[in-house]
Amino acid sequence: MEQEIVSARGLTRKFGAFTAVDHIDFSVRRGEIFGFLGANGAGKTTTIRILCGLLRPTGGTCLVDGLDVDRQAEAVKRLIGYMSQRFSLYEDLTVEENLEFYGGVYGLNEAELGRRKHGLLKELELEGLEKRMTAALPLGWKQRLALGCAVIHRPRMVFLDEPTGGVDPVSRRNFWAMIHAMAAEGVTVFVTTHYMDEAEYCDRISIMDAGRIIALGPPSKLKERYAQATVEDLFSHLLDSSREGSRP
Amino acid sequence: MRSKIASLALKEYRHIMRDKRSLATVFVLPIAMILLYGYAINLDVKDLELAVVDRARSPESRLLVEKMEASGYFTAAAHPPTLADAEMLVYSRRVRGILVIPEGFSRDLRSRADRAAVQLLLDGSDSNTAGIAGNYFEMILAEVGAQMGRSTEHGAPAAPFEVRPRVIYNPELKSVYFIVPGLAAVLLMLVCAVMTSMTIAREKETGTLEQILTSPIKPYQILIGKVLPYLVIAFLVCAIIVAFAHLWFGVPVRGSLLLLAAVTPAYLFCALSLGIAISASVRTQQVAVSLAMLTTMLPSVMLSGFIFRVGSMPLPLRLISKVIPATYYLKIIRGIMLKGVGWEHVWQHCAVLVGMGLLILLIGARKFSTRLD
Amino acid sequence: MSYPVQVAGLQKSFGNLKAVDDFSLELGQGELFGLIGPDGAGKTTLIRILVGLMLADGGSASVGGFDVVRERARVKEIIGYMPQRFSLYPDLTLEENLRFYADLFQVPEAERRARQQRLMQFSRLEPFLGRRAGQLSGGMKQKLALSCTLIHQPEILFLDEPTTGVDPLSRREFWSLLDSLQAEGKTIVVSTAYMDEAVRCDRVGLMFTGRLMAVDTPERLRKTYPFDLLEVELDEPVLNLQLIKGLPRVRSVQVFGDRLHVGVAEAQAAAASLERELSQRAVGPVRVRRIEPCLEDVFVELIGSWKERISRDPDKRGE
Repeated sequence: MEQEIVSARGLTRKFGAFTAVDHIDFSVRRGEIFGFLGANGAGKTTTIRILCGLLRPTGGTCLVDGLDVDRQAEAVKRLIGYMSQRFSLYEDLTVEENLEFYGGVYGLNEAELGRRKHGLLKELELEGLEKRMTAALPLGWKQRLALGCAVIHRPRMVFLDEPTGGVDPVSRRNFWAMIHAMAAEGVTVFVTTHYMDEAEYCDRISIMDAGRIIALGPPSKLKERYAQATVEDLFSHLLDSSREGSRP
Repeated sequence: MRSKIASLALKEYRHIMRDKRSLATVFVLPIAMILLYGYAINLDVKDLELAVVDRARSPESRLLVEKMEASGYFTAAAHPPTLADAEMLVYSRRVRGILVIPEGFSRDLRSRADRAAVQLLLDGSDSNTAGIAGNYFEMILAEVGAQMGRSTEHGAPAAPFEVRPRVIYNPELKSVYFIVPGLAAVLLMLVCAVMTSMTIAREKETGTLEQILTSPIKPYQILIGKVLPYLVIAFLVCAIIVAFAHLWFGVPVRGSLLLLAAVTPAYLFCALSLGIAISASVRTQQVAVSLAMLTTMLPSVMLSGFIFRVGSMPLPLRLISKVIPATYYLKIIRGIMLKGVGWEHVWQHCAVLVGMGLLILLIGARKFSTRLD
Repeated sequence: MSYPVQVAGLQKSFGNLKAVDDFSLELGQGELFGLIGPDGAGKTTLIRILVGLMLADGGSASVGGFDVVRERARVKEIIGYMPQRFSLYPDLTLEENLRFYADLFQVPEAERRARQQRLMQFSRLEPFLGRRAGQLSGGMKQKLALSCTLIHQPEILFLDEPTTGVDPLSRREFWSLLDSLQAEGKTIVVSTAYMDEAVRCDRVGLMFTGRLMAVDTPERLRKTYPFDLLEVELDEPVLNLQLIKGLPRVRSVQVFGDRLHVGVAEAQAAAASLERELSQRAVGPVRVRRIEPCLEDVFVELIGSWKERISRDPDKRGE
């Protein structure tokens, strides 16, 4: 098995005259936690959507587990899990029903679904809440449930788009403990975040600005290279200099 | 193994059951509409005022006017001397029509001529009333003619008026029999299309569709999974409407209920597909609902033959009526309930509906992008 | 003299859930007040009661000296409210959005241009006046939303998680706007999930299960951390978390970026034993040093211990 689970070459996506993703090259290694950072509108969500087969690239190629995301989107979808910014949960269904539904959509059989559901409820600390209506859950719990729905079919790779937005520091730590546990089981995690301390937990990070990747590497190496104490400093430094350079 | 379609259908079923208010609306609204329309759209003719221009002034002509008034459908509101005077009365809307009895009326009757002519002029600005009144008048003429035929010494067996009754079904001439089954067709179309038009658009709004689209599910699976539970609901709505029509308004069920139940899903499928196809191609629930209302309500009411006879429409409208599902279901439901027709008379309409439903669903699946762009 | 915001014994329940529970607070003129707490602590409910969108079950609240229930109309005139999901109209341009809010608050025609210009300069959105709101970036949307809440020149601002989902640079910019609003004398109540933002407030209230559990300046809140704090740097912080938790004198361990924050009894002795224990287990190079706790340490520690107390004895919620 090859080492890289994602490899993007010259990946580009335009919306009319606007270039959201501008010829980016990167790869994600099997089993790593890959952090995807950038300002709002830098192109992070667009990139994730291309990788998940939700948007077609307008240029370049991208392979996920050796499959072309454009031409083999259906096959790619079987391998991945996706958790969107908006926690795509059905508010009028219970915790359990949400899990069952997503399990069904991925074609899990009854026995497997039952096993997986119970395992996840335990792992996500949602036991005893099976019958709760999703609408009534606090944000931190919804977020955990959304993660559960995204991984119910045991994907090889999960894409998490700002999974911890607006979540308090305690819940965020809990959530990251779960991400680490998943990575320890060999699942590749691709995550975007605006919390720079979370970026420190990643094996490697890439920083995007205006559709381009302006830095990529392990957080410690990048901090060393640009002589910054934290990822937050690194982020500000890189974005400032990137924008300085692009000004006429 | 629970299939993907079943998962979707189960989820959709849960959405429906959780939203009690919408569910109640789906059942209560049609009944309210039937009550409203059943009573409000009353096409029955009663005491229609006529100006009588009696040029014959004979016992026979007086008998005719008498019989006419005794029927309760017409009253002789005026006796103007000339046709011109009578026409003035119509223009000023004091009367709704003119009965002209020509001078030779009695002579023609007695001379055993093939026909004795009377002329009934009706205000065509209300074409429905006119049509129905015309039918009534023919009945009265037939009655009068039969009486006179018996009273003539020659004992001619044939009625002296040539009356070709046009009312084949609904001989009681009760418009509610006609309206209520028609309403069933219109309402089912509306309810089905509006219900399903919201489902996919809602998931686009809440962002849950994005999640489903990252799974290996196919568009047709989503569409069918979503249509199935609504098919059950719509069928129940239909049953309630038919029961209501029969028990409340006394609309007869001359044909087989089983046959009606067997072919109705074809129509429901067609209507639900339309809703889901709309939902798949627009972004918001609001647009979806408006579009569903627009594409179902007006055409089904105006062009399907629900109120206005398709036969008397200009050709372009007649062609349009051919692509309106309600046109076919109207024939089916009126046929089975009022005429008591059997499978041999409905299978063709049924086939058209299934075909249309499949075509619409196919277009919907084509339109439904598994991507966000 | 009345306080700009005064809350006494406020209560609000949803069924069995106490969203706001005996909440009392007084804010000073021109104060920048931060509201923090875990999700579901009642922050949004509290703010909604204060802006008159919800009725409390008990207690009283006044804003700008006006009762939020009886004098709701007066309260509306002097406050600006930015809900969590501020509704900008994505299909209207930036200028049209601003104009709409100016109409809504009946800003006199003569003053509009000047106010709009000032707000746009202030938020540095001037170059984008003609752009549709839907095409703005997240940070710009939040700035526009803030501008819309400011168009009627309110005295007191209520901002409910205004920077959620906004990148670090835009957040910093947003907060510098709040600083200048405070310099103009406005009183601001802001809820946030970011501790680095809470530190910038004059005072911070920590809410938990509807109650105000602690309220003080960030500096003094920091000092309530119950242990000595050590920062431990090592190669695999997350993998060694459990190991460190089991070591003697260790009371609490939290991940902070690429380091661990370890709450201990007696810093010196604990640091020595930590270094010794870890080097014996060969987890690679380890650096241990004593640090001052930050607000996030306090938050995580306090909430963690309260949650534990509740799970042990659900009746004694946070007492």
